[in-house]
Amino acid sequence: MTLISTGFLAFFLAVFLLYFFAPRKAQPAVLLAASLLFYGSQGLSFLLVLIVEIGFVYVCALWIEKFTGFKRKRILLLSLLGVLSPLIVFKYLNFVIQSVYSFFHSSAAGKSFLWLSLILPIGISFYTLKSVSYLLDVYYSRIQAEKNPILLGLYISFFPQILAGPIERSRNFLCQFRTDNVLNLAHLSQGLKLVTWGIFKKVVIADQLAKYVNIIFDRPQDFPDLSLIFGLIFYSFQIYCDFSGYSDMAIGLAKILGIDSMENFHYPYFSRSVVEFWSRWHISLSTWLRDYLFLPITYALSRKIRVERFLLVKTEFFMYFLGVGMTMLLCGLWHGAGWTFVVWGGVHGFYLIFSRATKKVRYAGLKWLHLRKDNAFLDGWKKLSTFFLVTLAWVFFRSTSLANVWLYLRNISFRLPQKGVGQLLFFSSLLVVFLVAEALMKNKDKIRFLKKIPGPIQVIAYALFLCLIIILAADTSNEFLYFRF
Amino acid sequence: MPERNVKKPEIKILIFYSLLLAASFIFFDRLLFLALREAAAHFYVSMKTDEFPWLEPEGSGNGQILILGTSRSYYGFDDDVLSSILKAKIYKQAQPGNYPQYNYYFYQKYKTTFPKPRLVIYGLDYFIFERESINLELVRLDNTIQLKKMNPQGVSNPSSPWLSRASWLYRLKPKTDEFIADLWKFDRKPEEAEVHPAASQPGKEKKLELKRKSRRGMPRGAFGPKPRTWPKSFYHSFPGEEGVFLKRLLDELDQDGVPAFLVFIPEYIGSYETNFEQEKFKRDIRQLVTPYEKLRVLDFNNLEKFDLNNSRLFWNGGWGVSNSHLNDKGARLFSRKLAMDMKRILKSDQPARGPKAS
Repeated sequence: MTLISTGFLAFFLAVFLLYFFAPRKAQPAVLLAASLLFYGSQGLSFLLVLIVEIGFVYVCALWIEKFTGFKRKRILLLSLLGVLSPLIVFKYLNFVIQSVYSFFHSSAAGKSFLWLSLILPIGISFYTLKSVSYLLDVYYSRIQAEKNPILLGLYISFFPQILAGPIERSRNFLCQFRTDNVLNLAHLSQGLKLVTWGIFKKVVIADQLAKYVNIIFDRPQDFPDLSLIFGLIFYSFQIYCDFSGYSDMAIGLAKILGIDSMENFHYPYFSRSVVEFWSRWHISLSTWLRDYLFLPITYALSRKIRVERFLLVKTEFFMYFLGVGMTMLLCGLWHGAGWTFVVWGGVHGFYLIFSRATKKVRYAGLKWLHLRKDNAFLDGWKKLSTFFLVTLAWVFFRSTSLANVWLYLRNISFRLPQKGVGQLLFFSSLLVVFLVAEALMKNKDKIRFLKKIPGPIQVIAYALFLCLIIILAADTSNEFLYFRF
Repeated sequence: MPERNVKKPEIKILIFYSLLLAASFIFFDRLLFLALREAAAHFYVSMKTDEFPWLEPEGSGNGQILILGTSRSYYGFDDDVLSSILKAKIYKQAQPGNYPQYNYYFYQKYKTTFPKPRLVIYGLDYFIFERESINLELVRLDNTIQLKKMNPQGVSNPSSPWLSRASWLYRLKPKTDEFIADLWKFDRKPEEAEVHPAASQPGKEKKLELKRKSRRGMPRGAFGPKPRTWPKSFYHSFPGEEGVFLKRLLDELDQDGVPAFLVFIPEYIGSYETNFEQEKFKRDIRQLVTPYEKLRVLDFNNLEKFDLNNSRLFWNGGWGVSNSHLNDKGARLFSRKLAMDMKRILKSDQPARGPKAS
């Protein structure tokens, strides 16, 4: 059962009614039961792993809070090991075995003799990070350990978020259940709009683009023309719409239930730099990486290295270099157990480090050219170049091997495609319409006429929008891309 | 009662907006569906079709044998061998995607130009009732076929019957998607736009080239050893997507007094074991043919009649692969056996009663 299925619609309707008809104290239990039922529909063995993890996290957090000093640290380390073990085993063990085997047997291709048949529990990458953030927050006394196992279980397994995020923080989530949660029409309306927009992004934009992208990436050597560039651009939007579409649905569904979730995407392709991109793309993950990886690494380094310069560079820059490098490599690895993902993370790490290293030079250049920071041309240039860099990195993310990355890049040419021009124009038009809609939504507070549209007109437009979704929805059954992580 | 901060005027607004949404949705749903259907009508009806017949019959002899089927029939039946043994010309209308609906409409078109065939050979595929004929090929035969499919009466989208009741667009989503897919196919083949966008039936030169390609059999062991486990393919039973058209075709052949052989074409053993519900498939076909006097079933897809283990007779197939084709050597061997059996049956004194399977 996914979020886009008639089965889920019936399920959510039942949950909605039960939730708002239930007494306030029973509401978390209703949602927890629904969440476990939803996750159980993906596989009973997956549910077992989740329940064991919830129980483990609950107990560990209470113990961490109980002790201090070295014992507290030791419990933390053991609990992190326990929480991360299922993820490491299910997701990375085969990758490690295969990599080591290939290293010692250079002619090895495909699986090694030690290949284990392990099915990755869906959503494990997401709820593991939630568990880790909760344990670390308890350790650092940012929050108190949750005494109510139902609330903690709900936090980890909340059904709109469990399969592909957002990776909510416990302190933002848990406090919402300490106050009355009542049916609110404004929330209902906002939630429905978000869900509909999310469905549009997924089934219309992402799944339609996937048809073109899959053909191009399967055999790039058959398209030695502009099709490869379009393929890459379309993939940028496919992955954005697929993932943000799911996030919108998850946030919208939570909103309908009166629960606020963190924003996960904030128009990332309008970013002016890669640094800004990472503050707008998969925000729940990037802030998690910043708070639980990058900052602790740089803090630990700052305590060890006390000189002003280290290895011929400023210590501050060295710490940033190491912190960002490690964080982005792990970010890539989190996305998938494959070298292409690691390289993708590494490419973004390089972008961030290069950006930091050349900051002064670039500002000096702007000054020399007498260009102000808010110059429209400069602004446009920054957005285009950032989009170009991010899109180029997606080749690594999408390709199945590094050899295929090279195959793709070396076949790029600027010749006009001879066939399929109509389809190309259609998808390009669809993207333009989508970008205009995103731009309008981004600036909706500044555009007066949007606020003045009467309610009945909005409802009629919404009905037309639903019909267009039905027509334009792709006829494939592509799963959400981030389910694979 | 649920706790809520919803006031009575708000409930009235909610009800009003809900009704307005429903009414607007139904209005736009019907409007857009009719617009799409109009566009599809214009697209299909405006297609030019090349002049029939599209092929030259092969071989020589008395009368003409019509062969129908998909690519498995195209590669499996050797025209020269069949012609020389059965002493008749061969008209082989077989290509990928020619499922029962196509073959039924093709037979109608065939009769408008040629006299009654001496014999019809219909090559059967395990997935015969699972697949649908290619739209753009159907349009070559009758450019109103696709439009007949875009009729919302009595149709339901299997993915959600209750949503189908509310929305025509949703009800006929598979058909409108087919129309859009046909538009893209048309877009990808502009050089054939004047004649036909999907003229995939190869001309004589192309046929020779295809035959040359398949002549080289696969080397021994090319299909690999039998694995411990492999994905299996379930059989979609009659009527499935186009089974009714097969029934109509058999009715018409019977009415026209044309003898016909429905033939189970050999598959490489890996594919044979992948298509593990062979008995269900064969039973369905035999039951279909039972009422007809002049229609017979011939089963060469079994180890007694043909060496399915010999990979040198096939150019594809294997464990986990549902589709398997004979190569030239395999086709010659199979066609010879088939022709001898058909000759014997046709010559026999016994009244032709189906479903005698050999």
